[in-house]
Amino acid sequence: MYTDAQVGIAGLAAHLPYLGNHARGGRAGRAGLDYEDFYAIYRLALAAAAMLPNAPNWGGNADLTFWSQPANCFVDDIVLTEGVLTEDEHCQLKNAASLHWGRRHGSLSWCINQQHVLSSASGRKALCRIVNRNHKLVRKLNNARSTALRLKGARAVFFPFHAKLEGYVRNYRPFRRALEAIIAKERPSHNELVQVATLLRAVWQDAAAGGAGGSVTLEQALQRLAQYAGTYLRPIQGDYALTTDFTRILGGIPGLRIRQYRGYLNWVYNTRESGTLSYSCHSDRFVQFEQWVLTHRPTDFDQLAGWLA
Amino acid sequence: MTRTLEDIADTKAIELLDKLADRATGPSEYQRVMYELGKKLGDAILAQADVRAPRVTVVSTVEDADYLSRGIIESLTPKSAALSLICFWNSKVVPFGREDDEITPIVRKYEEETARHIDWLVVVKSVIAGGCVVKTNLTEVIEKTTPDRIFIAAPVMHSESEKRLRAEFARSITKKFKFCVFARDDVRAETGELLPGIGGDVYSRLGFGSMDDKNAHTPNLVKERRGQQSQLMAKREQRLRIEREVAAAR
Repeated sequence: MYTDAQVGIAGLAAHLPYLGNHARGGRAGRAGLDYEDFYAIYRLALAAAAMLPNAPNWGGNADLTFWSQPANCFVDDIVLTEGVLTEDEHCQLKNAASLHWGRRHGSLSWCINQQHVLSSASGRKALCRIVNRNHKLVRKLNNARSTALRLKGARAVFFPFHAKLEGYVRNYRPFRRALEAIIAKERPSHNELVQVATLLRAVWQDAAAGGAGGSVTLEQALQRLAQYAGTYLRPIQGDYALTTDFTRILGGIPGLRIRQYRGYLNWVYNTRESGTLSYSCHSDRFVQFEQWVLTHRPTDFDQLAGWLA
Repeated sequence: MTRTLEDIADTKAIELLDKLADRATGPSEYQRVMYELGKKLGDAILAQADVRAPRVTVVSTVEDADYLSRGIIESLTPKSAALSLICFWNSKVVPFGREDDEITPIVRKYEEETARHIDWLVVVKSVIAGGCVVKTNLTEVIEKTTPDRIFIAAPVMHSESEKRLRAEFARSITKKFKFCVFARDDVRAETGELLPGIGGDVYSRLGFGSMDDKNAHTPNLVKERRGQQSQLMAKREQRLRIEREVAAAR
């Protein structure tokens, strides 16, 4: 994210060996997921939800880039940069009930200070976040006016710890709400929410797999996931304009009811059979389906059933 | 490669497993072998019976419905107080080729009326390698139904799958698990298939071709039961109408 030259211009060249060692302790090759990964997945979900029509902060930035331990940063577990903006969010994840603040070389306080110096010298502003699982500690840090955290505009942020992604989906409501916003299901089951969270995990893991410095933009993430059928990610285009002829033909099939929800076609047949097409109404495959219906004008459920998966 | 046979695998079951593993077995014979194995799995479940005349729900995938699941259902039906079927059409997404992040979303389902509380839930799968489909389908069903006992029935499973599946569920659920399998294999090919397993990719062995092909298919079992269910509903409505008329006449 920063070059050695930029570090030098900031007057921090003496710390290049420290930054090099720091980066080597990265997460590449680690088995399983850790606290950093879960937080990144959560932030991806929040950012994806903000991109959708009618989202509270609709207009979320598709250029938002998620970095996993970018090069030459002092506060670097996860860094979020946003297109043309010059404010970068630097997150340091501390999954411990207590926190050693310190002042010496390499301490948390020192890292935040150095990050400010480095970012400022490059014309950027570092918004440092200390993410911790302990509510009390987070409150304490945010209330302590004298800490470097306060002085540099940094903030402590609460994020719980669960051993599995499923635990976050079940127990952490902000995460669950973000997943509910991005899935194209009206009353998603726990299972379906876990599946969406798993897709976001894949995006993050894939970006971070390259080792320190891996990154992915939100737009890339959503585009890459949209290529798979069965992800049920709500398309940012919103609903698709179904033709009257198409809905009339399907509406005329005895026992069949169809409805578009969040850009996907849902159907119910005689109460016992139901489904959601695995592809969105904006996909080429749906256009083929639509054409098939208009050409063949099915009058019976079994004529149509082959298309309903 | 090592195959460990379970106690329930008798000579006939072993012979049938060998036919599955034999790549010369054609689709129609393969389907018949699956059906026979289903009947034997059903018998093995009944042999472990802890209740008489249980209320049973069978959870099947679309590809297994007409063969393995039909065999199990035919074996269990005469001994059950009630038996309902849930059939799922699962898709499969392996994002960026990351096997660990594989998901198997349910894209279509057929669900017969199932009581909130049942005695046995039988989750059927022709082979359990990663366990992803079993996890998806079981999770979906236990959100709505509370079974006393959960049978996970498959001719063959990977030797690590039981451990992996148990790790995915809470103790309150796993304590109900009973794995009903004939053989456990410990080797997987690069494609993810078990060796010898069931002799390769089950979709092509059963004659479906691809995943899309099997998801475009409606099993005869579903069509038959759909018809029976409609008749039952019609009879129930007729009975209710008569009861209402009798009550009104009084």
